[in-house]
Amino acid sequence: MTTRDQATRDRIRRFEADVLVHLDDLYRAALRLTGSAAEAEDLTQDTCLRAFERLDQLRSQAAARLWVFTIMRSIFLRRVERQTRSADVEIIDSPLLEAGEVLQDTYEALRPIQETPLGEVRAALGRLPLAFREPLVLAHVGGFSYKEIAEILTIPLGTVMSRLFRARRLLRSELREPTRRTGSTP
Amino acid sequence: MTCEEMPRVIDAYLDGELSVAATLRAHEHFAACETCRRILESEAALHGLLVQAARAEAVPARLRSNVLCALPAGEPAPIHPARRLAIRFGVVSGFIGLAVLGWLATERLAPHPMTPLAAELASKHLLYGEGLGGALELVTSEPTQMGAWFQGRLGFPVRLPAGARRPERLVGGRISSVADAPAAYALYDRSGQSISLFVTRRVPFARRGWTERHVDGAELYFTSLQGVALIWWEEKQADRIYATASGGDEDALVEFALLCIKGGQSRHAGAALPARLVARSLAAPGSRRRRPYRSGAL
Repeated sequence: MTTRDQATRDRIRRFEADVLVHLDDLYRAALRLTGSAAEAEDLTQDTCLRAFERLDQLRSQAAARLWVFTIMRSIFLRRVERQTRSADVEIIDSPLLEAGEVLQDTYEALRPIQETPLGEVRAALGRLPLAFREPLVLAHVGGFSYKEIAEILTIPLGTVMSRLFRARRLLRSELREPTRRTGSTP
Repeated sequence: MTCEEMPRVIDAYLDGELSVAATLRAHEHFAACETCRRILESEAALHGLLVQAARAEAVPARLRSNVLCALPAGEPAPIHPARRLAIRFGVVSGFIGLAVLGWLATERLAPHPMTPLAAELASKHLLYGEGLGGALELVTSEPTQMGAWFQGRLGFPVRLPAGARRPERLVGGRISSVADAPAAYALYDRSGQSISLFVTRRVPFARRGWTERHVDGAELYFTSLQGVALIWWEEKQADRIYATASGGDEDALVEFALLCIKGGQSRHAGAALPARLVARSLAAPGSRRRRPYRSGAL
């Protein structure tokens, strides 16, 4: 076996240990971002290939999860930007609560929120604007902290908090208004 | 801690982002305030639903093996420090001569153990071609219908081969991507063998590591990876590249490529291909050896 063969094997071993351990969560996040199983597979595969090419840039195993999710977000964003000129990525970074917005009334749903079928939750998540969907996916699928989400999305920490808060309000509002439900996502 | 502060606090509390002191103050408030406690419970339910909805999703069993199959066989070659310096100098100074030399060095001399384009095309062929149609968004055997669908989704025309007497049968297509650009993907079936066709914009440095051959007046670029034969060519007027991939016979793939180029007006299956006109390897010396194209009956 040549030195080059050994180096390749070592590289693949490192890739499996550092990157492929996150494959399931990468796919789940991709699925929630793209809304399509086929596109999610595509995005996950491209992310892994890109990560393999750039494996030398990975500082440590501990940093791998954040690093590979950042790669995935970068690839995903480039695709979104190329596919749509008018962006769904319209940013609405307003204060946490608008004047006159009453937080309590959103909790008076006819059906307790915990009884919502998971399919409805996924569909509602898929309808959120990208700027709100991304931090939610990173928080609930990736399990990232606010600071890490800020790093991946390259936005300030306060903006992460604001977007997460509004994303959850929007999601709750989507779940309460069945008339707005159209189509479904996997 | 007051009820007015709760909207900001509850999310951070459930996300585990509060300090220990703030968490204790929040506990005190929830114990004393029923309204905020109800809000907390409802918010916690929403958080739980989000986690469940995302994590209960099944991950395709083939995903891991597909990723591993698509990994390039060789380690990327390191860039020589002197060359990197020369490239930087060329960029800063803007000397055209240096830029040309840099391009020549990059295009002709540098070793390319794999090409990202080949890896991407081969892996997507394996991904979409498996199971003949499982990953397709539109299943149709009508090239006209498929072409119109691509045009509507991608905004550019895609020429798909059509020939009633051809052994290749259109199965369907989907929107994909190549080098991060939107791409049309069409799947064909030739006697049980999947043939993938990708159409996208031109890819920079696509020729690296590929072997150029002129067949029947067409300039084709060949390579193979993981048992997948790959060919691409340019549609210069439209600034697009067409790429095709198959795990089967390379000659049949050449025939399919020519069929695509001629829009279905190619020879019938079984007819002989003309002799090779030119074959020029763009691969680095010492890398993958060029296989001469076999002319003759297919």
